[in-house]
Amino acid sequence: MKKYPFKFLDSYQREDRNVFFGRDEEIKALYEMVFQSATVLVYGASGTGKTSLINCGLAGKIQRHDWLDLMIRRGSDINKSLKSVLEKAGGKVDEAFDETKYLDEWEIDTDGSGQELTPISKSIRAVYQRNFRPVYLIFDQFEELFILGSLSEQQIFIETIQGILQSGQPVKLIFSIREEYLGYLFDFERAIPQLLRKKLRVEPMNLEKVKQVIFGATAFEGSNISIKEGEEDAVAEGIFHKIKGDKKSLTIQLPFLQVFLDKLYLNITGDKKREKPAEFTSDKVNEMGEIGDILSNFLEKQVADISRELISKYPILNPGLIWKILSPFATLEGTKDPITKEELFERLPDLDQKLVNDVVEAFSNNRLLRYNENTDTYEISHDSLAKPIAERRSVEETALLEVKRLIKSQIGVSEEAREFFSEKQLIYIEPYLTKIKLSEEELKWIANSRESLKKEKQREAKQKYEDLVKSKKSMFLKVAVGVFLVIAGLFIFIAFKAQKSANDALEAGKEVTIEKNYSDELIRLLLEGKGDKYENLSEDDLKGLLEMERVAPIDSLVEIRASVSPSNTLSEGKKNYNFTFWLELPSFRKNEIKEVSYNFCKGFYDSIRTSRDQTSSFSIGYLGWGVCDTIGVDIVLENGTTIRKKFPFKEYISKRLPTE
Amino acid sequence: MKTIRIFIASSSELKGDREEFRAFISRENDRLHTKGIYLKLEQWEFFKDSISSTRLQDEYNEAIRQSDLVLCLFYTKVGKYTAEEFYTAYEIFKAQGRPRIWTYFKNAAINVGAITDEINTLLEFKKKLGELGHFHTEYTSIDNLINKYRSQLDMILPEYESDSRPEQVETVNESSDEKEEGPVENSFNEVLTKNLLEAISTHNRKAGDFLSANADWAENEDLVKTAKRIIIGGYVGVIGGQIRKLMSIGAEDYSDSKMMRYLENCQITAKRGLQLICYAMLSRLWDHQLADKIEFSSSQKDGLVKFFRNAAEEDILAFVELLGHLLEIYTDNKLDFLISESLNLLPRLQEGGDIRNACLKLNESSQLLKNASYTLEDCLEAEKNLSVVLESLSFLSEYRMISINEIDFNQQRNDHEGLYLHNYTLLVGESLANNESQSSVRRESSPVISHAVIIFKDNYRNNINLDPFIIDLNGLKLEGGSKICFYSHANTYDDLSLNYSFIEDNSKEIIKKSSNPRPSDSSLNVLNSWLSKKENRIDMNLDKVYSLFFEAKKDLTGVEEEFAEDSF
Repeated sequence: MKKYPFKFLDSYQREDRNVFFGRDEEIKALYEMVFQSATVLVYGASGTGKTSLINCGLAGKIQRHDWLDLMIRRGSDINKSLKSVLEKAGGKVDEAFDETKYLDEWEIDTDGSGQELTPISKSIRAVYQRNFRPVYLIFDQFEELFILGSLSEQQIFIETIQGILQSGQPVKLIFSIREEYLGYLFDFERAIPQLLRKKLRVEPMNLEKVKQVIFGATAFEGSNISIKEGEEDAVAEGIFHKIKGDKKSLTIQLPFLQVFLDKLYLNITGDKKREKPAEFTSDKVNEMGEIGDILSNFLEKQVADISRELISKYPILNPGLIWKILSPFATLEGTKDPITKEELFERLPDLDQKLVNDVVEAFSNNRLLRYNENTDTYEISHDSLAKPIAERRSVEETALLEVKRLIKSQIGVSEEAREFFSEKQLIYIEPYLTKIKLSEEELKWIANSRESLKKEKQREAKQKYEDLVKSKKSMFLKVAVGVFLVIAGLFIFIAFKAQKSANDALEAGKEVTIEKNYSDELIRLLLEGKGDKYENLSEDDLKGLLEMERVAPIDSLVEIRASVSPSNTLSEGKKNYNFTFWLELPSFRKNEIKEVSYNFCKGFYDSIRTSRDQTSSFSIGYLGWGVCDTIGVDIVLENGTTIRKKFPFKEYISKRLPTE
Repeated sequence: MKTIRIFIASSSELKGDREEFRAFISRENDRLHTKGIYLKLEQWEFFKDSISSTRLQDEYNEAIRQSDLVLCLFYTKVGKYTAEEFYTAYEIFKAQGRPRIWTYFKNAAINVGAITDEINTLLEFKKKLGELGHFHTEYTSIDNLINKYRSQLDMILPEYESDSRPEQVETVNESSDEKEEGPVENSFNEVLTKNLLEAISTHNRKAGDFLSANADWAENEDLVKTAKRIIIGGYVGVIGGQIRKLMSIGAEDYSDSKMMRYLENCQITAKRGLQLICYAMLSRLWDHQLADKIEFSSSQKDGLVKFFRNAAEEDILAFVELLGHLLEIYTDNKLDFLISESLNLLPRLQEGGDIRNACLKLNESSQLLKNASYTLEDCLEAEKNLSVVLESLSFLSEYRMISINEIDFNQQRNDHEGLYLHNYTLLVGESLANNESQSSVRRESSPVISHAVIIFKDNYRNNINLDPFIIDLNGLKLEGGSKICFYSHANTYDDLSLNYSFIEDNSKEIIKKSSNPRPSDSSLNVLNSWLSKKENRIDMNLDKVYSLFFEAKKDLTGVEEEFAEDSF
């Protein structure tokens, strides 16, 4: 039977060596290297085919009895993954037999200067002893250790590798890493100097290599694809230029080529079974038209197909929802992020788990998601597909991921060296805290940061107060002193939740709270620089004013406020900002409000956003560049009535946009 | 269309999972038919519970025997028949290396009230699996099972895909169906391990100690593995490496490719053993010849000329002949030879001698390989013949081979004598694949010839330098690791380049005379600046190998470097 020679997005395996073309030089170089060093590093841009080069190119050059390859992906922890892969390969260590008594002077060399083997090295020995094949530990997507792994995980791994290299066991280590992460290897290389001694860069496909791939795949006997005689070069060049588009680059990405060739075949034959023979001609290549973002289009089609497939079971399912389900599989930068189903459910708390499950299964069935048994995770089959997923994310989803990363990176540092979240960071992460699941340590650190910030603010307040003391009249001072003493737990108005203790205090007694709020309010007004109008008031007038604020209808007191601060991120090529909204009203009246809904205009991912958090003055925030002309704000009171307000957001914010 | 038979067995409580699994297989088939693969599910549960007659049992065993993959699912109990199914499959697997068996234990919440004594059958069975050394996997839900199995299928299906490709090297040939009829017992390596362990036990302390401490080693799987390691590590470097390959092929599941590679490697191993002795003798003979020229008989001279002029790799019999000539020369002229044990081999190499006969038979495998008409018996026969050759060379386990790289001289102020640091790589069969830990340094008070592969017994100083017959190409190219190459042949009738065989994969490495000769010593500045470049030093090293070969040729045969005549 004739065979379809393209692999689409699958990586090539040992068995595909007869249809693996365009990498002869690299295979030869890599093969030489494995005899020159126990560690070899393979690096290159995403989509250059590093994994195929190792699994198919190198493996195909080594005889089966000389090659026992164990692929190790980081999973949740690279050290656990390594252990588990070895155990599955038969690396269970049998302690019963002591071989050391047979060692002699010369064999000490082979067993690592007489040191006892580490557990991992013993495990490798056990794997080797099962079938006497040299073991190749292949650390694929090694960058994950540095992107996702903690420092201690990295440290343990370095020590493990040192142990393996000293063990004298028949084992080789191949690390495959995306080139933009090479810099992360600095510490690793310092500990293992030979790491970078033998390294191979896998270049993207240039025209010459593309020709080799196309000619090879069409020329081998048994291929169901041929090229029209005399048009070989024209076809190959046509394909290359179609994919390259008007980019100035001399190379193209391998997955694009594979997807393009598949599409070309389908255009010619229409045979989804890929059995019919096809003849590639210049005309057919030209008919393909401008491809644009091939992978993006491809993925879009898959999403639409799956949506159609499952719509009868889940009427609410639409492509937008599927993109949302795919989102957690890509990192912020658009690389793969392997996650377990449980993590996925946690990331998508609003969605029916059955639906999520079926979508994941559908993507697994067409091999766009892959399941990794060792780590129990799913991941997108190719980095090049992670990019379009990341690009389809809503601003809110992106912000959620940024928040998550921000928290993770801070907590990743050991506690002694760790810094508290700044006020700006806390404001930024606050609106998203309910939407992400955090570890106890992370929650604790956020709470500690708030506490620290609160203390700092109190110090500042005290300072301002002392300054006031020096400059203001004694009457006012008397009031202020009294007020200040009441407010030991002063909490400056910033747009984030007060600590739990503050809430507890609120609940302790309404009277106490309101008294405290009076004081808070006064100090707040003073400190916000709005105190001038109170400065010359008598104590009675002051009390009168506060009384008015206490009894006036709440809708006459409420004002809508917004703030904006710059963000370093971009979306759709535009600079993002952090926008925050809140209600301005005397804090002792906040408890009359149940919830506040902000109604955004068309174009926003969630058009209605609601806050029930009085400690943050019912604030909400978003990251992005879009601004509505007006925002409808519905303030629902505890007594059931709703106050509707219009907020001329665009006008308000235009005066406040930060300048560069 | 290639049909893969999957046999699924489970207790009745997992009927639901089995149904879902069936649906998964059907979905997989939708996808796989484009690759020419069909997964056929064999489910016997419909009448398995009522199985009673022998006829049915036989029929059932036959179904497993015909299967490619067996999947056993367990939950809270292991039904009698399910366990039987597993054992049957396992026995068949042991016998014929097929079918592949997966056991999955469902690890899901169960109602405590529902636990009965039957749970003991599960615990018992798990224990039994452990004893058999069989790995099992757990699954939490049907989705989890399907995911795990899908990954397994993704891993193994390419093998079946490749089988349907005519150009595939490792394709099972047409006649393989016939061979698979009966169970095949995997007795590969048995003779080799037993004979070689005993043979080296008198030369190698480790093997001797092991044998005396474990007389019953052959009964214990772990000890058999250790015995194999002792043999691999015991035989001198390059031969140990070859034996490692045979042990590895021997451990594989039954396949056509396995037999083919086993036959090939039996041949190569025997040849490398003979080559090693020949090359050591040639090398030493050259030293003798330089010191005190001796005359060879005409047949001896012809033998040497034939070796130096050969324009294609010689077969195993040619090395039997060459070794015969060399042994005669040494005996006739009473020449000393470090590997003196080999001097006793002469009668066994002559007409009717056991080594000669074994090599004759090993040589015949070439024809079998060419016609792809080998059987299991051929492999076992080759193994016996190889063990005759290797037993005769068992004294090699007293020798060591190292590849000397650079020699550093270190002498500092007020030191009376400097230190020579010999950087070398110990060539050990088992660790050939590794090299980082073997690169070692040895302190000596005098230098030694660098960039050479040497063989020695107990005294490192008393060695035979195997250059230019056995070289370390990585050492010569100033790279790390070692790439040991055996001289193969010269392009005598062409450009006179030298062909070497890399012992790991028998690939060809060519050494040509470079067009970058070392400047003469007369102009020191020119020479120094030339030597400062690494590429030049590599050319110098390779040129040296090249010229050494032709010097040896001239000194041993009297034949000068010949250039092919242009006959047009």
